[in-house]
Formats: sequence, structure tokens, C-alpha cells
Amino acid sequence: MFCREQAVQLHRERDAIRRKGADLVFVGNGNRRFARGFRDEFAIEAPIYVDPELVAYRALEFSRPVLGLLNPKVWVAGARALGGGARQGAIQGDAFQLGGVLVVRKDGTVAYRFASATAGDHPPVTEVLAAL
Amino acid sequence: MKLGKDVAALKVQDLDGGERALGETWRERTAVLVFLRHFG
Repeated sequence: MFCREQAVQLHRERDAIRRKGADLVFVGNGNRRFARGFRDEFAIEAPIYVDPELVAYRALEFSRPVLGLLNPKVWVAGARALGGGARQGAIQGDAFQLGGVLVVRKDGTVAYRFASATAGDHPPVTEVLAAL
Repeated sequence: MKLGKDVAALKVQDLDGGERALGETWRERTAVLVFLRHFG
């Protein structure tokens, strides 16, 4: 549900992202079959890659709190996502692994980094766009 | 903060099963990399 909310929000801004000289790229931790289903269901036009071994997630220090789903902030975020029209699908990947957003320039400089502290903790889209 | 070559060299898979270095995503243009929690 949360990942759908975030993906849809940022995907809506893909043209604005391109106009600012950047490309939108998704990385998920499920397998390729799950990723294809995700792409098709939401008509995602941006590239999608998978990292089922969580190698990049670990290297970029995105957290994986095993008890994270018990955090009350997650339930608040869930209500927000449901209110916005998101729905929970079958979990297709590692439910405990949290994600984040990076803006990386051509020379490898990280212009922006957001690491989710809980499920449903996403950066404001305006904040991401402002980093471009 | 600058990502090291070790991070740039990390492999992710495209949807056809090919491997791609993570750093290729920002090699030619700035990349907005969204790491999803999962696909559900």
C-alpha cells in the first residue's frame, strides 16, 4: 500500500523530473515477476530494477526493523494512504525492508537522501523536486 | 556526500534478467532513485 502510494506520487511527476534533467528510476526488493506485475498494474513507464538480495539497500543503509510494523506511525500513515486511494496488495518482497529516495548527480554526488524511518514514511514530492 | 565506486558497481537486475550496475542509472543524467519497500 505504502509503496504504491509513493510510486504513484513520484511517477506522476516523471515529466517534471525529466524537464529538470533527471530520470526517475525505481528499485524494488521483490523478484522480477513481482516487478512486472507492479509495472503493468500502475502503468509505470520509468525503469524498474530489482534487488532481491537487498545488496543495494544494505549498502545505502536503508533500515530493516523487524518490529517496525508495530510502530503507531505506520498505522497513521496507513490511514493517510487509504484516504488517498491506495490499497494494500499482496506483499511482494521483503515486508520489513524499508526504502528511501536518493537524488544522485552524474558524478555520484548525492544531492538528496531520504531514508524511511517506518513503513509509509516518504519524502514530500516537492522536496525531491527541489533537489533537482 | 559522494557514492563510491563500490556502490556504483553494485548489481541490480532489470526485468529481463540482465544485470546492471547501479551507477549506470546516474552515469548520463541525474537519477531520482526510489527504493521501494516492496511491490505490494
